[in-house]
Amino acid sequence: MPTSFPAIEPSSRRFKTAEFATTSQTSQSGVTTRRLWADRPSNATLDLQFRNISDTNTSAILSAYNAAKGPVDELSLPVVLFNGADSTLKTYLNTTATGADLIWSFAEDSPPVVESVAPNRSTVTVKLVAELRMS
Amino acid sequence: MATKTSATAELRIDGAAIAKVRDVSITFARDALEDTGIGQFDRTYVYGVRNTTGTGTLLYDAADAATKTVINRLLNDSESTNSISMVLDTNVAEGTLTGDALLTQAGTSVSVGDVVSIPISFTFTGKPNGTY
Repeated sequence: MPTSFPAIEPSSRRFKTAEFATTSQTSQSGVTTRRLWADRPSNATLDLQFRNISDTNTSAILSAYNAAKGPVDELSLPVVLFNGADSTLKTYLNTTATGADLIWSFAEDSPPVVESVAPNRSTVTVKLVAELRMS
Repeated sequence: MATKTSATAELRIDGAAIAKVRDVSITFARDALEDTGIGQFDRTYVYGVRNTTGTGTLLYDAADAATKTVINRLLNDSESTNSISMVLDTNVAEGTLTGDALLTQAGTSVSVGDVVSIPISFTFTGKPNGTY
């Protein structure tokens, strides 16, 4: 059962598309050979910033992080995270267009960061990752 | 309701009225923190931290202790704050704003044909008490 990421509209969003697993080798003559190791891409990242949100919303993000046991459990992402993008772009941002079985979760090396700005106001930075996982 | 003039107003430092004040103003400001969502076309804001500052011009009067307190405060190395009050009507309790403030600027202006004046600036630390 995936943990629901809270439905809070981000102030900024940075998406890095999923990558195909490849290796490359360049011969002495300068010819490059690339080998594809998988037919599906993985490791998309989504950097989100929520500027000056209330303590209630900040707590909701931290609660989701705890409920998901950090990077362990799968997240279900609300559509509000992709606001501002048209319907086609949304399918790339939420990775439904680039491949099945990509699992969203909190990034392992970047837990949410809370910067307190004013009473009841914080700026929260979150990094999510979509990856293929062994079931 | 009668409007008020400067004749009923007063500026006080540490509770003592300053004898001659040409002008004084206090400004309250609160930061506007942007919380615009990424899908919105118009910026939205929420209230942030308040900041209260003031400026004024005193007329130099060597016989007035309160005036000299203001001038000498900038030459004093003490870190203690001063109580500054702006009284809009000395006849009633309302309209008095009081708070701890740092005197951040005081100068002396002398020119031919004019009185000696002392422009000052101050910044309140914390929230001033009182209402309009």
